Amino acid sequence: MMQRKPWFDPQRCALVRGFTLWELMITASLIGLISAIGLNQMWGSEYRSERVKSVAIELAGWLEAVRSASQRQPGSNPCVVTFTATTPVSAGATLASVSPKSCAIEPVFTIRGFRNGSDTYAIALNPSTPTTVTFTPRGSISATSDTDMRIQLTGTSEMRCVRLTGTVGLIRIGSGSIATSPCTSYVAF
Amino acid sequence: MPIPHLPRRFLNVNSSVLTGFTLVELMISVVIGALLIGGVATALIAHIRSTLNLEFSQQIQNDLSRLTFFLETEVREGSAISTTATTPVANCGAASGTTSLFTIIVPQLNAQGFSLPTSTIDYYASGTGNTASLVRCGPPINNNGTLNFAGTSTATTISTNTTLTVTSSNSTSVTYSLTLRDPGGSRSVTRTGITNRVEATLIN
Repeated sequence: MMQRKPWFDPQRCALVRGFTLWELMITASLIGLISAIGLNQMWGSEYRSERVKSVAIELAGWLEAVRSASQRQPGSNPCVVTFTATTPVSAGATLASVSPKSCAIEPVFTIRGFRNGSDTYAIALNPSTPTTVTFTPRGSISATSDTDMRIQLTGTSEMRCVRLTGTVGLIRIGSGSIATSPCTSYVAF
Repeated sequence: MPIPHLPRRFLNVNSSVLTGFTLVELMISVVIGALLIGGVATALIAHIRSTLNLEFSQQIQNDLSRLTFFLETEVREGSAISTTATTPVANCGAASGTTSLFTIIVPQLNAQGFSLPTSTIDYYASGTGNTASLVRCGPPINNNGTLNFAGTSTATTISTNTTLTVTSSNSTSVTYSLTLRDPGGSRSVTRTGITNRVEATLIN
């Protein structure tokens, strides 16, 4: 009787003999590739928003420190913050500075680097003048209306605004998308 | 090919070690991995939520401290306080019918320390409900922190989404409760104070 070739060859079918290391590695790398593309679609904007939000939070924290120091400063020498609105700026650029130096541990606020410092930001001050705000020992600021620093990640519609409210100088962070328009929602941190 | 240190089960040609992983084994490991990741993610999300809530409370408490400090500085400078409902001075441009929450009567002192006619600082509410703002109508503030009595009294919004309620007062002190809301109006924090004595309560 002739030996019939079996319809099912266990040496060739993965269901029976199991997967080899190479098959598993190729599958894992394919899953990795597909999820990388998918995650970028789903969470890419979230990542971009975090990159601009972190700059805004750092600036707000710096202003908060200046405010606390200003109450210990004599009235003859109050803390004066000068905002610098230039476009585009990258890591290491100055956004604000304060004088006298006793008003902050770091008298100059600079953007810290993200992604090896390749991010650039468009900065706008609204209103564009005056560029200085005085923190008085009374617990107020010289500006009687809101002063906004708008920070936008270049090439994206991600924008955050750091607002110093008029007279009392409460610090708020708002979000928006167009550098020439105000931020729409201001929330506490 | 015999592998001496492996148990007998793995020497069987049908076993998984010598032949690779089967589909069922892979599926079980994937399910276990997914369960572990799911558990960790749930815990992380809960942590992030509570951190955000904490940040909100801290921010509001900071804002309340600032407002209280400012109000107390103004009240301390006054020679008397009046809560008789008076219309804020006309040049502040408040909506007609607006009455002040309280009025601080501030003595004007010239460089020689002589008292000049008194000036007033009014606090009033603009708008109602969750979007009400607290407005100050009084002399502008100089950069050194003193009041500019020569300047024209102007209305400036002190804080938005804020309600100030005067609960009781006499000529020397004012007892108030200050409520700050988030812009959505869903959360608020209230602090009560008697001029320079402040006690804080957190209401969620």
